[in-house]
Amino acid sequence: MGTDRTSTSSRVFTPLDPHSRAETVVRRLTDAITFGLLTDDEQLPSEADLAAQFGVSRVTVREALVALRQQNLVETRRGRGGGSFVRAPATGTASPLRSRLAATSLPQLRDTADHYAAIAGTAARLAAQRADADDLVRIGEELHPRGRPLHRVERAFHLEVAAVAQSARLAHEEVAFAAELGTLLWAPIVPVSSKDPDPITEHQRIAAAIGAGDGDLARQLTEEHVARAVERLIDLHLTLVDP
Amino acid sequence: MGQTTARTTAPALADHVATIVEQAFATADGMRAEAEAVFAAGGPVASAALAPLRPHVLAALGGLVSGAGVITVPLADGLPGLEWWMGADPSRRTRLVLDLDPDSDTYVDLRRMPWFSVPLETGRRHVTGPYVDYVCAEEYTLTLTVPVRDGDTVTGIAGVDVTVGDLERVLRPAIRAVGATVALVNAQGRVIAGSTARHVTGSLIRDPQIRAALQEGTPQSLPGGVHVYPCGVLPLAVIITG
Repeated sequence: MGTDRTSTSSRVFTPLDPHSRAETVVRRLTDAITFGLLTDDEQLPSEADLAAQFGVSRVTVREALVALRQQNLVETRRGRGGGSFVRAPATGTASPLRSRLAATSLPQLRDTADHYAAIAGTAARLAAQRADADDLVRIGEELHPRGRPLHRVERAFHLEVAAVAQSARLAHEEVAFAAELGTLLWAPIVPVSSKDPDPITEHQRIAAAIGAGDGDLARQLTEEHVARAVERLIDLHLTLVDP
Repeated sequence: MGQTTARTTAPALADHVATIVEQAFATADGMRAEAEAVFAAGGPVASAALAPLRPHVLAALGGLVSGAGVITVPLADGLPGLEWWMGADPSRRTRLVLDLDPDSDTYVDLRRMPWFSVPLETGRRHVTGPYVDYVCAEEYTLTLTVPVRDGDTVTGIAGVDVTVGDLERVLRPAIRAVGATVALVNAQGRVIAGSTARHVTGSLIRDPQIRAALQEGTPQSLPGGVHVYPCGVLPLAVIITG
C-alpha cells in the first residue's frame, strides 16, 4: 500500500474509456471512499477537473455527484471555500477489507486464486460424478440468496458442492478459502461489472451441469466463475493499491 | 472362492455391519434416555440443564465412536441444548461449538442438517451419510441419531459419529473374506467401503436395478450374478457382483 497520496489519487482519477458513464465515476469514487483512499472531509477536485481527469463531460460528473450525495458519500458546500467534500462512512467492514487487500500482494492474490480455482473446479467435477437426487436438492437450495450478502451465498454454494463431491478435504479447503479471501473476493466493493454474468446465474449454470452429470462442463464453468471474480479484484487492486 | 463362497460370506458381512452399527445406535440410545430424564424432571428446561449429561457423552466416545452427544431445539432460554463432544482419543477431546447467529458467515442452520431434522420430523432414528460433516469434525462420516422426546414432543436428537475411515478399517478383513467384488452401500447406493477401485468410498452405484433393489430391504438376486443383502433393518446393504 502506497502512502504517497498524489500517486494513489492519480490512480483513482485515471481516465475512463469513452463508453463509461456516470455509474463508473460513481463506482470508482465509492470504491475510493469505502477503501479510505479519499478520507473524510477531503475536498474533491472541481467538476471541471474531475471531468478532465476522468475524461468525461461535466454533465456526467454532475450526475455522478448527485448520486454520491444521495448515498451520503459526498456533501456539497456553497460559498467561499465551498465544493464537494467526502463523507466517509463512520464504521463498517470497509476498513478491514481495505487493509487485507493492501496486505495482499498481486502475486499472492493470483496464487491464492489459482489454488482456489483448482479446489472449486475439481469439487464441481467430482460432484457431477457423485451427486444423487438428494444432493441436487441441497445444491438447489443454495441457489437462492435469501437476503444474504454475496460472500455468504458463495461460501454456502461452493461448500455444498464440495460436500456433494464427498470430499472432506475439498470442503475443508472451501472453508479455509472463505475465511482467507472469500469475503474480499465477493465483497460489494468489488462490484460485478455489467459485461460479466451475475454470480448467482453462474451458480445456476454450474448446478445444471452437475445435475446433468457433466463434470468437465461443471469444472469449466466453476473455473470461469472464479476467474472473472479474481479479474475484478485484481483490477480493483491495480486501481487502488500502489504496486 | 467365487459365487458359492461369496454367497455365504456376504450375508455374514452384512450381519457384521448390522451388529456394529446397532451397537453404535445403542450408545446413542443410552444418551437419549439420560436426556429424556432431564426433561421428565418437569418444569421449564434451559440449555444449561443438559450439562449433567456430559459424563454420559464422554463415556460414549471411544472405539468407533468419534463424536457423540445431544442437541435440542431452542429451550426455555432461547438457546439449543448442546452437549456434543468429539475425539475417540481421551487426550484430544473437543466440545462442539455451533455458530447459531443467522447473520454470521459460519452460521449453522440445524434444520438443514439431516442428522438433526429427520428424527425431529419423523420421530424415528436416522442414518445420515456417508457424508462430509463440515459442521463438526470435517470428516467423511456416518452419523446415527435417535429422537429425544419431552413428553410426546420430539425436542432434539442424541447421536454418534462413526468415521467412514474407521469403519472401513474394522470391516476390511470381513470384506476380504467375501472373495468377490463386494461393496457396502447406503440405501441411495453410496459406497461406504468396497473391494475394488471401481467401488471406491463415496462413489455412487447408478445401476437402476441395484438402486431399486436397495429400496426393498430384503435379500435380492438380480440378473448378472448380482446379490443384495440388507444389513438387518438398517438402510445399509452389502452388494456382490459376479
